[in-house]
Amino acid sequence: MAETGAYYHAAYVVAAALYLLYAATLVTRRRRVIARLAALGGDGTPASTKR
Amino acid sequence: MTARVNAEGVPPRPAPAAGEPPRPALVDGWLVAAAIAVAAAYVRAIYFTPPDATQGLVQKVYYLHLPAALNAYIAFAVVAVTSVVYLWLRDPRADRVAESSAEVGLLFTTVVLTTGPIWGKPIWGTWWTWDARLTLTLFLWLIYAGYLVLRGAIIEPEMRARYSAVLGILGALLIPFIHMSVYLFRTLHPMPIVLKPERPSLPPEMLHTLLFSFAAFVLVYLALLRARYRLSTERALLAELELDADGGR
Repeated sequence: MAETGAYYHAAYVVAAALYLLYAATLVTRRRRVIARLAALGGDGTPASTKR
Repeated sequence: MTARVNAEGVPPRPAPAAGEPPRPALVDGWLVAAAIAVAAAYVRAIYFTPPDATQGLVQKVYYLHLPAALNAYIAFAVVAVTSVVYLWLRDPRADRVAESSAEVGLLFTTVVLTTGPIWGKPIWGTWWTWDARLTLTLFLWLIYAGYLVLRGAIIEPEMRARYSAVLGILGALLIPFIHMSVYLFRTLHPMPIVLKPERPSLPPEMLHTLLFSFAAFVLVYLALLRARYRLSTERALLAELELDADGGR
């Protein structure tokens, strides 16, 4: 059997990092939008955005 | 701390007299459930699934690589379907689902394009080769990266939705071609061993881990899609409020 453990560990770490990084950017972007909404007095309900 | 959110999971208008910043629920139950499911899939793949007899431990990349690829296909198929719905009904919610699904699909494709070379290096002896499957997957990534750039470049919402819907539909046409590319061309990439007309040629313990991992990453897709859709909804509201504020000046 080939000795390939380091590659497999690297793949698992890289994939986890990508998913976590994306989730973190989602949270950051949402926090920023919610802060601006609050400043303008919006309530954020989907009904209010449906044309 | 109690999260103050309404039935849609978004924060209510803060009381003017309170003078405190809003405290929305930024991480919901879906994201927590998805994280737990993925952690369980990792543990199952690492500790409770035997390594491949010829490839060794690196074959376990399969339990991340294939679910990411399948979820990317699902995500871009959702982009295509909701884009058709948008062009038909002109419902902005369909456009928001398409935008959200494209971004999450791009994430899954990025995982495919990073875990693939890490798997390929010890098995093929190279990180990358310009064979049909790999090149078309990179092309798919570029199309949907372009889709998001296009959305960022057009300010007018209806024009943005219309143009990106057309690109979203055309990009998804590549998916069946990517899947069939290993049959149509001579490639280094192996033939499907699960998604093929015959029975899957994986031992049961590996197949069960693969199915478990796939289910976990479907949950990740749904949780991220939901969170990203909420962001789109709030951005649309913000755009309207900013427009109103500008008009009132």
